[in-house]
Amino acid sequence: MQNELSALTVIFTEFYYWVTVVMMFLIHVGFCLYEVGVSREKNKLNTLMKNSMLIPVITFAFFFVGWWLYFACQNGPGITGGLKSAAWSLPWNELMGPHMGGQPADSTLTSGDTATWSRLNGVFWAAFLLFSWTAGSILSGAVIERIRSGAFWLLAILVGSITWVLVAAWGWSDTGWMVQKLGYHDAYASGVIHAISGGSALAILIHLGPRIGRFRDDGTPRAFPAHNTWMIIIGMFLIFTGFWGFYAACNVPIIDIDPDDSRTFFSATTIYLTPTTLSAITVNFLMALTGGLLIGYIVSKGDPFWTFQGGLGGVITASAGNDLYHPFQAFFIAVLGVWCAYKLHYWVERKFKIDDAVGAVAIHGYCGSIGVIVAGFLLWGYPSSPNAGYAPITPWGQIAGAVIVFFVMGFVPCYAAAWALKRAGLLRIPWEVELAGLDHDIMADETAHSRELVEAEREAMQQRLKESDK
Amino acid sequence: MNPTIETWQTNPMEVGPIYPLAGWEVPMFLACLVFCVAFMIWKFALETSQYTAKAAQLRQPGELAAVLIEHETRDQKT
Repeated sequence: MQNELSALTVIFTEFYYWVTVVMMFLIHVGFCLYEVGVSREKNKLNTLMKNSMLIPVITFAFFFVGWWLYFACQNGPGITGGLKSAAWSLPWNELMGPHMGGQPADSTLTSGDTATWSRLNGVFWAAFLLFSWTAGSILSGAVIERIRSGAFWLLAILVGSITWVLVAAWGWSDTGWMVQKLGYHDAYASGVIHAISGGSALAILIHLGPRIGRFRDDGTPRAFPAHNTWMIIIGMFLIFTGFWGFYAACNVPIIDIDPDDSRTFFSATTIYLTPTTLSAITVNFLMALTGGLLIGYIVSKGDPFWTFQGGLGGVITASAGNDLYHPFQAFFIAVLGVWCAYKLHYWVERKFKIDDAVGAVAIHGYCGSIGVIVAGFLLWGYPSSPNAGYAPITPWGQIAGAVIVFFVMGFVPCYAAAWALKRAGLLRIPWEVELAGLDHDIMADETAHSRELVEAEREAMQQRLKESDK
Repeated sequence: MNPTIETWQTNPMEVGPIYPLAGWEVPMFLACLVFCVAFMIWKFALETSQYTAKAAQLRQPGELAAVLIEHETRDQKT
């Protein structure tokens, strides 16, 4: 960085993504609170550990393979070209560690690579990693109280470090083949994070089966009382808060977008390098949240769980096009998405006996897919990229994109993986343990410790009474 | 072991990696990979043995029924 302007631009960008990472951490805090709140008393600690430990397992997997997949696989490979060179993203590359940007020791790197990536590689990596955690956490809530943690972590690695990263490379990068060929537009990840995770969760739930006692003989579901409603509500608020970071992380904060080399015009852009502003996405985020909360309240007749979920679903539905929508459009798209997702959730639950403990398939999978498709109609004819020769945004491109993210890359790989785990007897806990509760041993220990402590206190009291009598 | 950086009194534009053991990234990667794979294998093995033992214990006559009564009592208290 040889002048103050370039230094400010680079260090601002570095700091910008760092802040988004901190904010997105709140999404994970929120998911943990939410899931533990929803689970029953007898399962709460296992639920907490199952979700919390996806942080290390997805992190190492994303470091090992995910970051490289994102850059290397943007052409498919084999659709618009071969594997792309992305030496800086390999786990053993010097640019994955502290680096000053000088001459590379690695011969596969150029001095341009080190200048660009020495300060940005880590924060970009972390921002993507936090998306990966979100993908894993979406699965986590749906499968609580009966999945084995090991199996869940393996499935979370599959989605959080492989499948979502591949669809992001294809449809959420400036040169991805889905952008080039389909005109796929998904600026704030309705599809590439939410729809894929929802599709994955649905596939796992099919093999996992419902919790014992979930359905009556006539097929209607029984309610499982949440063990702590306040944890659920605070968790949802934290997820909303973290989503500001999620949105900001989807942008490039400052870049010259003028196609004429003799001029410069700096702007924030989407990940496709199409212009947008933080103002635009802030208003649209809030209007989508508003629409989602309102329709969630209306359709559930004031149920707190679905009202808050509706707010999240509204944001997720509008996210695909929130860089370009008018705020009223974001509002009504959110209303449509949450209404459809709510109806679909109960229809699927009753028809197929799918026990989605937190409505993750509906809020992430259905809302995300609907959001991708709606963007195809409303943004029909818009350029998907500043690059020449890319397909424009169309309904059929977006429908194809929704099918790829929800079904091909979401549902199918997890269906196969969950099937294999089930065949190996590693997917679900034994029914005896499910009835007793995953925390049964811990709770039994706590009861024994409490009894021992009371006994000790009683003995101490009698001892002191004897001493005072003397 | 020589440090990667021996002085900061140098042209910063010529400084590349600054962490210790630069050049040993592949062995470090392999060590980390082995650790993480071993963790997953350990977790699967541990879970299987713990659940098998727990399920066997809970199948003892009256054991599970007693646990369900405990749950009921606790639920009534809360």
